[in-house]
Amino acid sequence: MLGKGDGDGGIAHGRLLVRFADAFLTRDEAELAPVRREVADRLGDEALVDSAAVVAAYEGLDRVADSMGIPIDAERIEPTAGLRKQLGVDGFASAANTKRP
Amino acid sequence: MATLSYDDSPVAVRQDLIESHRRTWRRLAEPGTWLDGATRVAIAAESRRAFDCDLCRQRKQALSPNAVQGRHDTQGGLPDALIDTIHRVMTDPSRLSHGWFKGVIDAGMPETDYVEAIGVACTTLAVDGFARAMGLPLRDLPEPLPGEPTRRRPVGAKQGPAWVPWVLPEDVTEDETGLYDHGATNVCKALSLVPQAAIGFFDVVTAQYLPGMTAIRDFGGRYRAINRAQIELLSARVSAINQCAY
Repeated sequence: MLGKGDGDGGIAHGRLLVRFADAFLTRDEAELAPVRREVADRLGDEALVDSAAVVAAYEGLDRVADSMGIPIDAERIEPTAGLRKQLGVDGFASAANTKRP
Repeated sequence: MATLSYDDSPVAVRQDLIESHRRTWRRLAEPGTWLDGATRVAIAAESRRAFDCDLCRQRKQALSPNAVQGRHDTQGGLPDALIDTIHRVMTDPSRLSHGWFKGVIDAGMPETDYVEAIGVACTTLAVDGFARAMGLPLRDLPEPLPGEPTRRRPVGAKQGPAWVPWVLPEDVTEDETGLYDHGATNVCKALSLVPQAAIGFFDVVTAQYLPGMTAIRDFGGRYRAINRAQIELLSARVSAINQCAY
């Protein structure tokens, strides 16, 4: 999940969007600026706005989840179990809270 | 109070997103449920300051965040325990633990203050993150407004599986109208001990992510200029790097 694979993963402009999220999280404008321009050039201005809005929303959402110690919703535990194991999500430190029923 | 705008953006910003951010700044300045306006704005300022804090940088690099002691680089004006809480949540959220949380509460911070403070900090982070992702300066924080917090705890709040008590949908009363307008997943319940914190936070989330549960469940629908797969790729990547298992 945190690897450096090539390609778009079957999602239009997937690789570029991953680079955008990665650059955003560095908090380094020198890294982010060229990727931002590329998103605007290749996907358009409206897509840049919506991409920026999503990555910023998840910065907040992740912290609300982690700071309140919420478990995964009961109906999501079983359907996501295989995927979580495959992606290594259960190895995250915060999984100690989220795996509780 | 100056009105938040994105007039300096070289790219047009959606009007609904601008309106959401304006409502957010208005709420931020007003007295909350447990914290007054000055404290809420100070928390927002501290949430920004945390990312330039040397102690937080050292803790982030340490094997255990508790291995490094010291003083935070701070704006000041808030209790030390609140400053430490804000900095940890902002800069190292995946290593927060139930033991740490209990220590904060046992040392005297009311759970209600904790929830409201984190609601303020995380809502501010979402607004600030948008500006940063767009290459814009952070918006000026609003001037706090006078007045007293309402100090109203939901009568239906009870301890569940989260660290903090929460309000289940069946326990919502008239006083919490609108609490679950955007769904009742656990992340929606997380801030429900302070309903106005939850309502304010999800006002921003629905403007920035997807506009409510109907859209969230509609995997084939198109609600933004990027498609659903692209939205989920971005959100999953951010959560993975943040090591958020939820």
